[in-house]
Amino acid sequence: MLFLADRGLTAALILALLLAYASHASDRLYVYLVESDVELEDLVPHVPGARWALGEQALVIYVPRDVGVGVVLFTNETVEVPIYDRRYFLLAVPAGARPSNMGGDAVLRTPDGVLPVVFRKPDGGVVDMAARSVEEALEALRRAGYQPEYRGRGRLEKPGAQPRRPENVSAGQAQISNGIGVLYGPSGTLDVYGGIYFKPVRITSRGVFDVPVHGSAGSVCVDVPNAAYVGYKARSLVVGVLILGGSASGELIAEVYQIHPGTRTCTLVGRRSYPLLNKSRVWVSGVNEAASAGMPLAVRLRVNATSYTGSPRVGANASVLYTRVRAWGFEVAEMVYSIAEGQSGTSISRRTDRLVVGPYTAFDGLVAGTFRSTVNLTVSTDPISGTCPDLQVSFILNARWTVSTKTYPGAYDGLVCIYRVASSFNLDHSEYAYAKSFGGGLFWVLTLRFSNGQAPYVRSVVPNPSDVFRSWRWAEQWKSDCGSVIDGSWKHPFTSAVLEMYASVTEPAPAPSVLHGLVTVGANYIGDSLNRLIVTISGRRVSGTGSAAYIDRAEVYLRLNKTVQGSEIKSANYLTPSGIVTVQPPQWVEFAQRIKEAADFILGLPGLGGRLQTLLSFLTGHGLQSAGGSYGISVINNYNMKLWWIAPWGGFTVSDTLIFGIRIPSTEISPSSSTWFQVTRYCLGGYCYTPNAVGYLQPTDGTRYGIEAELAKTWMFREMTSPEATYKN
Amino acid sequence: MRVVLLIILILFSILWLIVPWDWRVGLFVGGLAFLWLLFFTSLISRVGRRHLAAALLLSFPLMFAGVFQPLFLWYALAPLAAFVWLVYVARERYGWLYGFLFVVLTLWLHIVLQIAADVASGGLLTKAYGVGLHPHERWNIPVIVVADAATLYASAELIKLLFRRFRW
Repeated sequence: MLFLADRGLTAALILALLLAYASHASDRLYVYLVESDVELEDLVPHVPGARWALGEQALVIYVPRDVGVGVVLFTNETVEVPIYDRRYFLLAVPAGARPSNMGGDAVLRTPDGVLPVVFRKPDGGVVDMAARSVEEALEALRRAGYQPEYRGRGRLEKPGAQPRRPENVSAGQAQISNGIGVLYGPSGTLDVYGGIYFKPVRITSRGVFDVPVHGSAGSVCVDVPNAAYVGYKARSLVVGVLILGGSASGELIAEVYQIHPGTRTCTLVGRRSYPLLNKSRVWVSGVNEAASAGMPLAVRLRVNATSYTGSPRVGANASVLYTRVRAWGFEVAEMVYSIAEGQSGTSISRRTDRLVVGPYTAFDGLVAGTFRSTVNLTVSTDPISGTCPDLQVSFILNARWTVSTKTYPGAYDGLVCIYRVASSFNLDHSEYAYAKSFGGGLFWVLTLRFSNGQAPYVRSVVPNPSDVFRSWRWAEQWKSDCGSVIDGSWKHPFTSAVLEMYASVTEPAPAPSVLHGLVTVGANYIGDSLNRLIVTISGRRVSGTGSAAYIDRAEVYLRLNKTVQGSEIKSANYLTPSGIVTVQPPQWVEFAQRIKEAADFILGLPGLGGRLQTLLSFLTGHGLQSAGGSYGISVINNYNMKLWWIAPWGGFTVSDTLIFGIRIPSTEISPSSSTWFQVTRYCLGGYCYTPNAVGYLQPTDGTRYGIEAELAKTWMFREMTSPEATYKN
Repeated sequence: MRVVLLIILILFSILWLIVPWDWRVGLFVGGLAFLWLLFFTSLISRVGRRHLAAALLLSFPLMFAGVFQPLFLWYALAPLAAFVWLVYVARERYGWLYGFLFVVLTLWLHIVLQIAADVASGGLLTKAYGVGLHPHERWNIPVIVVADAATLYASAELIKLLFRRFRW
């Protein structure tokens, strides 16, 4: 009887929950366009006493404060640039929500009355949404099954709220020293932001679809498909949802698993569903410090589509906040995103009030508190009545966060007004984390306005060399505080320093071209002493007409804290979509080179084949040698060397990415210490930058390492997602 | 004629500053080889149609190797073939033995003169030759062409003088 009563009670409870869910699904919502005293981040407004599908939470929907046409530097493209603001959003609250007596952190003043507001992690899991307009936002809410009603403007007031200032780099962060061998960078316990990536899933019917994990590694759990590795000491995980090619509504289901490291079997520790909303961010509450302290976590995402139109693809990516301890020194490196030296500038010749600088890739592993930026442009504009009014410039990170607004005086040179727009900022991690949730990048939008309010007629913009973004990064997802030994995962290859560069290649032209390059310098598997240091070089020139060409030359200058004498390239490969291909001259060129050796012997008799040559011998000899391309290491002095590569002119470059494995004999002599290195300078296709970016190689003495605590690589770079991946010739 | 060819050769070498780093490098190499062969021929005898045809034949494969790969073999063989052809041209004036000697001595002397020029210029030529064919460092080819052609001219005239003195 008791059993039956129990079952009856359970059924009643389920019925009540279903009814509650059904009633929530048709919630009537009042929507207000809100100006806020505070910039929103991960803590979102809640209205105590309100009740709907998201609990007490008020749903934040960002809409643009302003939309206009902007010019993308380098490419000279004009694009529509909506500018959002973390103080400007729609707030959806259940209709008729009555204020409770509870005091709040802030108050929401609306045409319908005043509501108390408290800020906390979202009850309903949805951190925020974004829409291009109020109408689009209302339509998205309707599609999700709610009944939204726009009620006018509101104000979120927080007593004592201060205008937000960019974060300063806190104490204990950058320990900079001029001495070689001293540890650079942040120290101690670090907040590290990483990413998890999924492939978009196509919705072809109503029902449940798994979102597959990006990369070739597949599911991290042997008994659960499509589970992505999250890892140890993950404090929070935020998923970004993008729906393309149609619309879909239903639920996003996030399942959190603990991985048993020995067997790679997984145990479900939490499952929760969230409304499926386009451009929304979802906080997955099952990922937290307690759950991930002793065992690594995995997450599986599923989409339960209840309705759809078109052929939608649901894309999901996630940003994860980790706690990491820099225990050994080599676990961090720098990433530097730059504008190259020596550019002639971009001709704009149009009235414009916004410039876009970027986008740059947001690489995994940002260490909070070390994120900086320098923007340095020379802008020339038409004067107004022969004078140069002051130029007001707002620096807006990712078109979402107005970091600063500054005023620059102009100098009249008789033709144009010249403004030197140069500023440096310390940035917080919020926009980086937001971008990573959607698998996005980093860029600046600069809005330009004369002191009289007019948009300037911009003649040209010269981008000056600068660290557009710079930060320290945790060099791999692995942790390193596991007692007196190093976590065994660090034996594997990891990408360390990353450097990204833009340059505008052409003089002002109708179809300008842009050079986009990327260099990474990192460590290889400790057992492969022949390929100790791995340098990847990518670069291509993309013209305004869309055609792309590979760069024809690259140089990377490296400085080490150990001698570089005897260093040599042991492997040179192209990275292609089908795998790694050895760099070598094509068959006919190689054959001709061998025949040339014989011919030179004969010509040596009359003195034509030696070092001093006739013009014809010189031309054919060097023509043949350079047709197949060439590369090498030039040792500059005891601590400095140059890696160089010249593309073959015969059209035999098979990829825009090269991977070089470099042997450094000194790392074999002292294997128990880590190696400090610095990329002092690099040049791609003739465009150079001096990043002085620091990275480290792990010790190669295997006895220093403990067991491997982690199983899968999630700091993803160009499909290299597996920890087993070693670079081989 | 030889002065005109010398000037054309030097002017053509300036094109190197703008040649794209693709198959057109071959076009430039072949073009320069063609002009150099004609120039050398003009130092030995009057340039006729067959000299023109031979120089074209010798340099044509160099031009299009980037398009058709087996032509790269000619990069290995062209200097040898050009040497044989130049000896043949010299034979018409000096006979086989002295023709051979004329070409070899001219080449040796022009190398000696280049060494002298290199020393006098503080190693400029060594630097220029050291750069080779490079996609971005392009200054060296016109320098090499000026030095090579000028010393070749001087050397051929000196050898001719020598031959006149001792043979005829």
